[in-house]
Amino acid sequence: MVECEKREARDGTHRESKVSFNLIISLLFHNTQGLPILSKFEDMSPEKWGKEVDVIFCCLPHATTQLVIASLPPAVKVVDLSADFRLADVKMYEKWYGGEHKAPELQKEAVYAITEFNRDQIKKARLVANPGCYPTAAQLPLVPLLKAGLILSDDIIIDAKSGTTGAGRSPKQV
Amino acid sequence: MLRTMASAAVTAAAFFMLLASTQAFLLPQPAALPSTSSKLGLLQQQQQVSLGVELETTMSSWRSRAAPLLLATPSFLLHTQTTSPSVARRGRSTVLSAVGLSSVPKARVGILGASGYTGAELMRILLQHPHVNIKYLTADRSAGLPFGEVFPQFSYVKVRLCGNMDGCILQA
Repeated sequence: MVECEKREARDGTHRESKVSFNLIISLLFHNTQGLPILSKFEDMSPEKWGKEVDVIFCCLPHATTQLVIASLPPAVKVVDLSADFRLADVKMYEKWYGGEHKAPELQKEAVYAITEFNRDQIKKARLVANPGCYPTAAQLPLVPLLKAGLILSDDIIIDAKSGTTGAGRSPKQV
Repeated sequence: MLRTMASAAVTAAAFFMLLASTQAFLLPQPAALPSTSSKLGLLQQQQQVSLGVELETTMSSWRSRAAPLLLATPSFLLHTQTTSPSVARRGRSTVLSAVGLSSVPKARVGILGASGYTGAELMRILLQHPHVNIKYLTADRSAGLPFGEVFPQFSYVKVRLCGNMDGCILQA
């Protein structure tokens, strides 16, 4: 009964709220420093990156971070959201992504960042390789089951689907 | 940034006493906040019989006193008065950091390739992070444009007319 009343009151207050939508929106987003205008990567020097930022997120197309990372100072932490440093084995990378790995020496220090499995290493890492959506979806449920020996590893079928945004912003033929 | 995030939790606990006392200066009377939360469907307390009238009065006094501050405070503020004490503490810490009183320094962030879908999703997350200062955005093909022009969903965020946040102009 109490539960029922609660729900009713909560919904009711929500609907009849006299708070303006503008106020709500301004409460939800609290960045008050504004955003800088987009610039070209070439306009920044390694020294300037080192002086101005603590961490860089790379949202570049696949195989681009490997090239760019050479011009980033070692003191700056890098979180790569592309596939460039996801596979620890450089040969495996070349097999799956069909191109030469351009920064094999950095691959050694890259940490594969499924936080649930690698939390401590991620904290200390200089280069964090953000995992892809399909591997994350597959590994999160499977790894604990495999580790506990609850399922067999030889006949696993993963059926997963992704939205078209998963393919990126520019149109391309698959 | 990872380091900063980790220390944020520690700070939240360590400065609890300080936070609790400072909160009196930053926020209106505690009674006003739960009422506001309930307007957003977050409130657990339902004892008030004349809820509508009560909300009306507390809201107007709360808004007039705290409106300038609130415009600079995050969604976490709204969770401040929920049931869990740990959530409440984190909320206070976030409020303090949003108004620049937290001892946790902001991580200075650069985003390379900010104009793709990955950049947009990352931006959505980082804009809500209390300990992040977005300093540089690169996008070779869209260079010179404000981020909100590439992704209209972010056009509400003001444009900073210099790389450094100290003493720079925000475009309306």
